[in-house]
Amino acid sequence: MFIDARTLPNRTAIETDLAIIGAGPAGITLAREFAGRNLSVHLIESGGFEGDPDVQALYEGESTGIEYSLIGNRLRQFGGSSNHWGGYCRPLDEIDFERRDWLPFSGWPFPRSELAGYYDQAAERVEIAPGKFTDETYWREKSGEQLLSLATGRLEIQFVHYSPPTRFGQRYRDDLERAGNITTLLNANVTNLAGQQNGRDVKHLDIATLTGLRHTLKARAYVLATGAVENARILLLSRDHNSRGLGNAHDLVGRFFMEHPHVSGFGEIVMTDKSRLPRIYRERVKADNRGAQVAFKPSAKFMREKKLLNATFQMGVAGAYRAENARPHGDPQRAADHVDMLQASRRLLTDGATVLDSDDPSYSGVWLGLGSSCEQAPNPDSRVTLSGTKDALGLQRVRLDWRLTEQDRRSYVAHVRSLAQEFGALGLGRMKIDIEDDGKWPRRVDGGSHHMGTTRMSDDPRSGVVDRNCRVHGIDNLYVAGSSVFPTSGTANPTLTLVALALRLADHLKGKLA
Amino acid sequence: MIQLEQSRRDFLRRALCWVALGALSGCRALAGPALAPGDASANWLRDVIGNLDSAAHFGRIYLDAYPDERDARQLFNRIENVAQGRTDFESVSAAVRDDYVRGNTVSIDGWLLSRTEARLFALAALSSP
Ligand SMILES: Cc1cc2nc3c(=O)[nH]c(=O)nc-3n(C[C@H](O)[C@H](O)[C@H](O)COP(=O)(O)OP(=O)(O)OC[C@H]3O[C@@H](n4cnc5c(N)ncnc54)[C@H](O)[C@@H]3O)c2cc1C
Repeated sequence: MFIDARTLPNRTAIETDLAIIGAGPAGITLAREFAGRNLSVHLIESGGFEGDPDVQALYEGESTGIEYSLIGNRLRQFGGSSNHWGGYCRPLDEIDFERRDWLPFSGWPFPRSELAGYYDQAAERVEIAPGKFTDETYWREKSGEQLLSLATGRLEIQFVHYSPPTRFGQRYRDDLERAGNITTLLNANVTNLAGQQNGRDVKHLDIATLTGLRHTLKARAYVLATGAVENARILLLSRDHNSRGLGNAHDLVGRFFMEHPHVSGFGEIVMTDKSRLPRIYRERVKADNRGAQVAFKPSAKFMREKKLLNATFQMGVAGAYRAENARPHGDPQRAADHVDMLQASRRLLTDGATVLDSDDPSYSGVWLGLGSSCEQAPNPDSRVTLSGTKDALGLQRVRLDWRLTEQDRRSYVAHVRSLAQEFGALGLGRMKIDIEDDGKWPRRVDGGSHHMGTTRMSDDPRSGVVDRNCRVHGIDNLYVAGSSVFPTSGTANPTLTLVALALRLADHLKGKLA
Repeated sequence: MIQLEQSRRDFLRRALCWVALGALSGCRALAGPALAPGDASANWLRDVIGNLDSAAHFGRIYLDAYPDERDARQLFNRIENVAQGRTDFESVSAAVRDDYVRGNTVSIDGWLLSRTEARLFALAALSSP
């Protein structure tokens, strides 16, 4: 059932078993797990079915670190940011869960194997092909092409899967509508998690509508699932019994904000014969009616040996060159440079063949555009706090201070070089690297709209906001869902993992609330 | 193979002459005839890499960065050494790939190149006007 909170009488007091705040992928996944159970569930969503500029404006905030748009990187409506996500899916790597002695604050409370079954279920929820993320035999058969045997030991491959992309709001709306025990409150903004006197429980939620109504909702358990920026914001705003905010006894809420830094224009690869790079390495290939493409990433062995963080590279053919028509690159000088390299290395890049295309002897090769994203070290100074300005509900906006470290940069540069070396070692291509190893990040670093880490998970309340079950330390009935609980970010796009974690949390809560 | 061996010997002989000429004239840039298209030594280099003009472009940048390598004999010997004493295409190509595997690379105007490949380009530069 769906109810518009603006249609309820002012000061409606609702009681339920489970309150889930936020109807994005995390909240919707969690709610659906309770469909048909003998429990009443309320899913409380700030937006409606369609985007509304006034609601979206509640996401405005300040960015004081690396430039970051807080309004362009999230959507505040039913379905959350899945209304415009790209659908890239893959799990975190085993090493991402490990404590790495070269990476302060690393280590999840459990290994990746804990999520294995949940990843399989999550793959269904995001509608990707069965999770064959590393299964080379499967993809060799499906793509009908030999895959490459990598040569340097520095890199390995994984197969990124593409969700249609699943718009969680649209895709699962009927399920929520039909579930007799689930009520979705739309246009309902949670403004405060009211605490009990004892400070150990949430007593109720305060809800406000943009039309000026105020409601309350009392539950046996509460799950905050409003995305990694808002999860921190709501905890920081909930100050009934602690001026620092709820669950913030150790000043950790909002700290350790992580993104996946994306550097564009860090390099290009030229290849004389693109057919030497099988299609699935340079474009999406369909199998079982779903798309997948290779991503290159550093091998765990190499990361351990060199004490590096994780990274991911993907590529696609961006243009082809003929000797007398060297212009596919927007910059003519760069195009000439590409052609020079293609001509200079021609024999080495074709195993000695001279003419590539007898119909077109002037054909020189292609250039590949490259995409990358890298892991950033958990950094307590990279953080979300509250700003001095207020939104239309009178709540302090967020201030984001996203920061990167020299360790992140060094790691990234090393992996860029590994990619160039791998292409050389395979005799596939030559890479021009446009990122200097000069101790400075390039002027332009973007995020991937992946917000993580602000309520990190740890068994120790002094180093994490939530425990291994995603329960806020020190609060008996408050849980967090979403990528804010990630202690480290890896480089996998976060949604598959946060959906897996939501499914795991559902199992935990089923036991708790039974 | 015999023909190739002949070509590379020709190449070396000619390259050494140019070095001598360069040294005698005291020029920083090596004086010497450009390789003519039908030239056997040019054929050897062309057989191993690709277009000599393009290669020379990168070779000049390499030599600017490593001026003490402006010596064709030394360059040639180094290439021959890493290619395990052989200079046929397969051996040189394997040496180039091996450089990438071992991380024996240099940055030439942003291009990450195998050291051996960069030296081949340098030879092309030394042999062009
Ligand atoms: C352009 C773009 C592309 C992306 N591409 C990818 C991709 O390819 N792969 C990938 O894995 N991820 C991608 N992401 C990230 C992905 O969208 C998020 O990881 C995912 O949506 C997070 O799910 P969530 O449920 O935790 O949070 P959200 O999707 O942010 O949902 C939070 C929900 O909470 C609601 N809410 C917020 N505040 C309140 C409040 N006070 N009261 C009540 N409700 C509230 C919001 O309206 C929203 O519906 C992309 C994101 C963007 C913006």
